[in-house]
Amino acid sequence: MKVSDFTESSIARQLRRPGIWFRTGPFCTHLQTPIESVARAFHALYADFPLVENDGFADFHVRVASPRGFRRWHRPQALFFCDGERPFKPLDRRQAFAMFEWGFNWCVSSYAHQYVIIHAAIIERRGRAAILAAPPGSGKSTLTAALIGRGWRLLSDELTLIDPSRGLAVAIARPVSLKNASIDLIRGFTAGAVIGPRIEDTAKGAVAHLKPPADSVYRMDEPALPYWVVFPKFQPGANTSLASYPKANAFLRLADHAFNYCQHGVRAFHTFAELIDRCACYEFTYSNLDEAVAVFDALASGAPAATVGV
Amino acid sequence: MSLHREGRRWRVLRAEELYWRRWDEQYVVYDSGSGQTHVLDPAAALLIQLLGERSFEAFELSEKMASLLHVDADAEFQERLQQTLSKLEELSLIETASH
Repeated sequence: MKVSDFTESSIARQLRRPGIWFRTGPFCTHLQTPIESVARAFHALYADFPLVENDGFADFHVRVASPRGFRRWHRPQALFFCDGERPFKPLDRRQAFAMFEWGFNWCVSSYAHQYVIIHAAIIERRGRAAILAAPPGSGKSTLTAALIGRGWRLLSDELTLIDPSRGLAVAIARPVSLKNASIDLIRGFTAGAVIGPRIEDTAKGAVAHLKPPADSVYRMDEPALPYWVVFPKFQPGANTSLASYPKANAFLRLADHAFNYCQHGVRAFHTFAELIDRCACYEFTYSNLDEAVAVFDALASGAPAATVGV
Repeated sequence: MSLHREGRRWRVLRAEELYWRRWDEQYVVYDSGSGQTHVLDPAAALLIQLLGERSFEAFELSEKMASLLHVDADAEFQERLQQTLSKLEELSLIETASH
């Protein structure tokens, strides 16, 4: 059974109590919420994810709730709980679904230390994965959204999980977080894109989430071997440019984006070293999404790096 | 900071805790003692490898480096060596110790 096998009202009812157990890649999450906007967005954006029978176990027990007292009706707020703890301050209840997504990221990056976790997107085509690592505001999610709209498989928009014993990246295929101008940009770029509600005035500006392609969700148990490390940068008006980047510097930059490099220590060093050994590393500047997709498609088709460009 | 410290020898802090990788002309070294990772140029990497084998007095080190790199140990070379040693000391990769 998957989420879309149920109506929105049925999902909302189950989410209120006892909650829903669903799987994203290797993680089983138990989500409970009485907030209708969360239920609506969850039903639309997690439609293809499999439900899991409740056998009492979940990697994360998540609750998005309204506070007690007057904050239920005056400037209502939302609270995020993971395993009974509340790691964040309350947010405006209109931001409840965004809070769930951010909180979910927090759960994975705080607890899933069986993986080396990098703050980066990861996509795959023809069995080869590209890690897209960049600070917030660099256009990483916009590029990811454009590529998965044109046939690339989504493993993750925010968290690249590397199994250190095999060097393989694990997929979680959750919705892509779009911000500000990129929301309408992707709506126009990808025919049939399903984008959740636009949530205004968050700490990141306006936020909306893109439903992952069904194929990416169906294939989320397929790991992928990273083949490219790309540092993307959106620059208005810039020509599309893919330039080789020194591997030693790429190592350091990627390690800077890791959440748990220190926890893994020597194991993380060897994991990154093997990854960088295998991967071609690039800096990528773009302003035009069609050209950006063409560059990545050329990479995937095996064109030598020197000939890649538009 | 002077390269020549009276009666003192340069050495690596934790040679057995350093893990290396080389790509092109750059080295990445992970110091498991501090948890820090650094990118080093070949001269800095050579310095650490020499000092990992045994400690050196500054003059002796300068002669050895110049000989390995096939250059004269002139004033410019001495200055570059001093800068590199200072940088590596700042990164807590090397230190000076008495005999």
